[in-house]
Amino acid sequence: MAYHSRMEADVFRALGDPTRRAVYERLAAGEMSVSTLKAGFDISQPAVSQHLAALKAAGLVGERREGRNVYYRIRPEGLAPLLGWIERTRAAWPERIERLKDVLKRMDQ
Amino acid sequence: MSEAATKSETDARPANDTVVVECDLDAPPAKVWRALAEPEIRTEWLGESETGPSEVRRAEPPDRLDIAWPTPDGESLISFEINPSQDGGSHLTITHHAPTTALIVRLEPRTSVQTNMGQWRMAA
Repeated sequence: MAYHSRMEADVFRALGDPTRRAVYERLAAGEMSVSTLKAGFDISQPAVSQHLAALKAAGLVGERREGRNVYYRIRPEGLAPLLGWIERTRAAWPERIERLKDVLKRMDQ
Repeated sequence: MSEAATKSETDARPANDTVVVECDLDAPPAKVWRALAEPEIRTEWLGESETGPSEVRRAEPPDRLDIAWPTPDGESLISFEINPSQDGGSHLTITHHAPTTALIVRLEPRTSVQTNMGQWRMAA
């Protein structure tokens, strides 16, 4: 993977954990506090906070402070590294298919 | 069937973190299956990952084959589905999942994320 980027690795890693991914998906419903977010999960609040920290580090989640409260939300632009993977993967296939066609021509029936 | 009749159009479209490529091949399904399933033939056209050897995850002859493709971010799954076409050739559907896909993001079309998903489609 010649164009593999650090950001991309972070996004894949951050979303690679099923619970963290579930936290991320839950946040897709809208901005919420840790305690609201925790209500949907069978894990402790510190654990939720830890997942949020990892998602924040990967640029997938943003936070907003309001007095003593902190609210979390998804950063849609954080998924952009995935777009890079999609673009490169799309670009790679036509050439592979041309090679497959060549191989098929050379193969015995 | 003449070689000139071979269709060369390919179509790629992203769906979440998946790339789907479809193509028509001027070869019967059984032959396409061999080109996919026999490791030395497959390597000839698909190549190998720089990260390590790829591995067959599921082989259901004559039409379904899944390959785990190693990447620095974990396994990327490539699924092949072969269907016979009316002209005696084959229609091949390739679904290439991003390394995260075993645990894929299923983002419902809602809130701000919808905008992003829209951008992906436009980028296709």
